[in-house]
Amino acid sequence: MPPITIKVAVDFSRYPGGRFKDSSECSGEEFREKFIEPHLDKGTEFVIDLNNLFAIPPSFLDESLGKIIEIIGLDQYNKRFTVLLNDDDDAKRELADIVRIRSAQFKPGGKK
Amino acid sequence: MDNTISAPQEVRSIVAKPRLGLRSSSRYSAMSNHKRRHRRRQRLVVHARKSLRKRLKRREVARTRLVTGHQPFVPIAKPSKRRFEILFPKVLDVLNHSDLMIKFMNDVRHYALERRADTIVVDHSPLEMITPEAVTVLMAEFHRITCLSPKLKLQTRQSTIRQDIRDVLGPTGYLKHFNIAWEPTSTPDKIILQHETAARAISERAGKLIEHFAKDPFFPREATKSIGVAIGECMENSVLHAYPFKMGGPILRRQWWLLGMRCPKSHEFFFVFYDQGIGIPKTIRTRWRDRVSMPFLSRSNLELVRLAIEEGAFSSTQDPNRGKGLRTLKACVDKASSGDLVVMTGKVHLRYQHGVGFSSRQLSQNLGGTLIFWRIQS
Repeated sequence: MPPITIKVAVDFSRYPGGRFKDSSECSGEEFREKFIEPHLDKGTEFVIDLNNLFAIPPSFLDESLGKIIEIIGLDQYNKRFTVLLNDDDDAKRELADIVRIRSAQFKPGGKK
Repeated sequence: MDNTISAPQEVRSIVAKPRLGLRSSSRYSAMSNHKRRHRRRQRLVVHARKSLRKRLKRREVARTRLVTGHQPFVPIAKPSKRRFEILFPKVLDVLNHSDLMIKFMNDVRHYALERRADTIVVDHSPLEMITPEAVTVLMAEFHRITCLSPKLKLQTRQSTIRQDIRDVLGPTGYLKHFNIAWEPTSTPDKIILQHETAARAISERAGKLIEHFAKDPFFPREATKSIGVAIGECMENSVLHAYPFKMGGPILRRQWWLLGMRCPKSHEFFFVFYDQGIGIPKTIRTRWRDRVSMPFLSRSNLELVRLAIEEGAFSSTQDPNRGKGLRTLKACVDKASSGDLVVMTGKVHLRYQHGVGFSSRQLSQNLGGTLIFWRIQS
């Protein structure tokens, strides 16, 4: 199966918001539920392009990608997810931090 | 023959008791618990009303003293007791004259919401200087009082507003509260402002505001993304944490205000974010050592806010991946070649200057919200 490519700036919003859909527009939760979770059980691979965004709040990254790591674990995440992010060094650092913390929170055999 | 049957002695005595006009203990005990509770509640209500009346009377005396001693308000007693005239102080500057500003705001709130004014006449004539961040706080207050008391009429005398003051008030939408039309003057040395308010975090609004200023060739490009992140985090923090349900008082839940401006002469860019919530210290005081009052261990509000901005990881959820919002506040100041960050929350006044570091002071009164101010320069 070919990987699903999601250009966040085009397919979702150029201005990603905060964490929850109740409190924020274009939130990480909304992105995860709309683009990732429907295909998560099918073993699909994802290419997520985070370039050309105005700014990427850490809460957006954590709620969209960090939560996925907590669900499927770091190994599966590394195999199935490719994140393209070249124009925001701060967001890159934040993402690395989130991956480290969330992978420690993964419980095998827990929520799938 | 007498056919009447006389009742036995015991029965007669029971029947006769109420006729004596004395309080019957048997009748009292027969009263339902519900009635008893109702009476007790009524007594409590009467008592509460009496004490409230006394308190209001004492406060009224104090206010009268304030009005005569200091000058911001001149209540007009006639023809209506609910019509007040607000006389502005000479200077409204929330960063440098914060105590006067806070006192003024408290008085506006008192007259509009507690005294339930029908009409407030605002006299701008004494006003010689007003800063845009003070306008943001003032706008927020006027927004709140007009939302919470829809019958309140705000009036002013148009001629009393000086032109330079008008140029600061106009672009923020402040004059709309008084139905005064404003047209921008074409003088290039005036600060350009944009004002936003909402009850949800909308990153697009912050983004478009910053992009509007980023067109300027002097805007520090390297700080564009970090100021966007900082404002986005402020919005979500105020929506999620600033207005907890336990917070009482007259509030507009989840509401925030944002203002952006630039000074074409000095090529400085300013952003102001404000909410009327409980303040940062109360939302981040979650660790056990911060919750208990222990000498040498518990930290002051000033120290706590400073740590949260410097290090992050202070979250009411205690999730290690959360509490990063406050850390993003100073990143844009660090990236620009010059700049400041001022955080005023509760009684805390904290300032961070690029290349200098933190300085802080304690305010004499609570701001009644959180004000975050950035100045950046390339």
